Amino acid sequence: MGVIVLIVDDDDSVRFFHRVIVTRSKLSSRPISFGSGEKALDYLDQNCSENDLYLILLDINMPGMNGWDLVDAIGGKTYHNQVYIVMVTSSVDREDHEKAKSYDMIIDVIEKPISDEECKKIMNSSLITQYL
Amino acid sequence: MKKQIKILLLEDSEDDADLIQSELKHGAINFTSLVVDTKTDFINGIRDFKPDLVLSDHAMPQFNSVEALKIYKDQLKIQKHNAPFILITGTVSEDFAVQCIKEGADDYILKDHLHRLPTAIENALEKCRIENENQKTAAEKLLLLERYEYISDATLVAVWDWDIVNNSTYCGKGFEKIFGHACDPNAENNNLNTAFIGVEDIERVVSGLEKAMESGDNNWCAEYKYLKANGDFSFVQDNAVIIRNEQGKAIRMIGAMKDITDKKKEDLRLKLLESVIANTTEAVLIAETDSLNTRLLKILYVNEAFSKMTGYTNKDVIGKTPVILQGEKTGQDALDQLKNAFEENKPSKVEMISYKKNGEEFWIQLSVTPIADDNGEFTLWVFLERDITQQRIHIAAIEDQNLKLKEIAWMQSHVVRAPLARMMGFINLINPGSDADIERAELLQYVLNSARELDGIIRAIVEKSEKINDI
Repeated sequence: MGVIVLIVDDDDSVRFFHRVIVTRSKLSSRPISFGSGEKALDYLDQNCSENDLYLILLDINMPGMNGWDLVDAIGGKTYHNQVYIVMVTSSVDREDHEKAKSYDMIIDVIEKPISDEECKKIMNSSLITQYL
Repeated sequence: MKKQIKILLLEDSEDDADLIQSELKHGAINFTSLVVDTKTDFINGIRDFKPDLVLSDHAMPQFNSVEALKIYKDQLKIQKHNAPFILITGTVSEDFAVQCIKEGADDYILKDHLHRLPTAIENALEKCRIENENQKTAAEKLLLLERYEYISDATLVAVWDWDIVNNSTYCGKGFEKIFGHACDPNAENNNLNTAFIGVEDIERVVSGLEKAMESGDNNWCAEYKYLKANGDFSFVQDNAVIIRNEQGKAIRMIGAMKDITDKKKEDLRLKLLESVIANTTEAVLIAETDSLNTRLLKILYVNEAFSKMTGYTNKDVIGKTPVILQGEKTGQDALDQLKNAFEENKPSKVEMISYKKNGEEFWIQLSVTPIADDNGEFTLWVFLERDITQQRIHIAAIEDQNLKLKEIAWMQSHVVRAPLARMMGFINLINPGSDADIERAELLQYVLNSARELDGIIRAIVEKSEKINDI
């Protein structure tokens, strides 16, 4: 049993940056990146194992299926209580925070650029540590 | 020829009656007569024969002259008319004669002196005629005076009567009642009418009056300020007739002054209100409900601003229905709201597209208000219209601008920050002390790309900002 970290962002430079930070902060040695919500959902549908927990660093603004759409889609899946999500956005507004509170699976909303400290904070959150 | 006189002769002796009648004929009296000798016949005679004169014997078997005199004079009193009663008697005492005269008999003649009768009759008739005439004149005078008093009470006028020849003036009670100036009827020259004309008006009034007197006019009229006893000024209207002698010279003037202060004030107030309605820049239209079909409105009045706004002149719209102002694009909602207001007699305010005479459409804000007549029926409607086309255009422009500003705000909060956040992240990675295994050149490329992206976004914002014009 382990924690699999997914990075979902339409911008490849952001994906690159997140991968650097995630690995450097030792949140995960092998995060998996997706350029769209649809691709991330496909992956989960096909590979989700009962033994694993999934932590998604999820961009809010994306063409096609945006961050919120993906959260809603996962909410309807059987594996939804194996998924934890950190919403990552260029600018956080109050609306995003309010909205995030109504989802149990969203554990935080953070503003880009994500920092090492923030990654460590995620790692230390009690929900995740039990599986790490 | 003299008028024939009717004589009622109260005489029980036929001989005496004949004698009297022949004496009358002898005296050239033109007469008809009725001879009676009882009380009943006497009363009937008075009623039916309607005598001009009674000649009465003194003593008769069942009747006497004193009683006859009383009956006759009482009857005459009721008719408010006097006629002679002459006593004819054989023997009479001086005392009795005096008493009869006191009772109202006009004369007495002894049977021995019947030759005096025609003269006595003519004298008595003449005396009564003069009396009757005086009485009639007095009654007429009294009636006229009464009528004058009633008229001045009813019309609240102050009457003056100027004797131009003797330069004296009579002023009526109205001067006290209306203006508070006590009027002494015994004063030699009571010129209350001219004494209190306002200083600023007196010259104009006097010269107008002189002009009227010199011209052949028989009427004069003026309006002026008049000082009341309490120090206030009244506006009066003075109407007079000019009475002229045979040479046409004015010898007397009779006038009536009326206090028209309230009317003047009301006129002024109405004039002011009317000028407000006529001159306001808001279009005003007044319509009345049709007497046959209360759901139909007919235009009574439109002001200048209405004509300017719509192009319809007074002539174009009077008598027409206000429906001419609406058209194809007038919103159904607005029309429903108006219909509702008309049905419930409630004021209402709507914004709608209206049409000018030339077919041009424009936005108006229309407020309609019902006005009740004396019976509480809402028969009049006042329409106030304001052209809000410019306002509408303005609001549309502001709304459009708002949208653009919102877009800019969104870009600033979301789009601008995305490349900036990336740059911050990559610069953090380039920091000395960071992992050296990442190619610096690659990181710099990422920073440069983000910087270019940010530049593009800022240029887009500038471009959008330039499209926002002053409104």
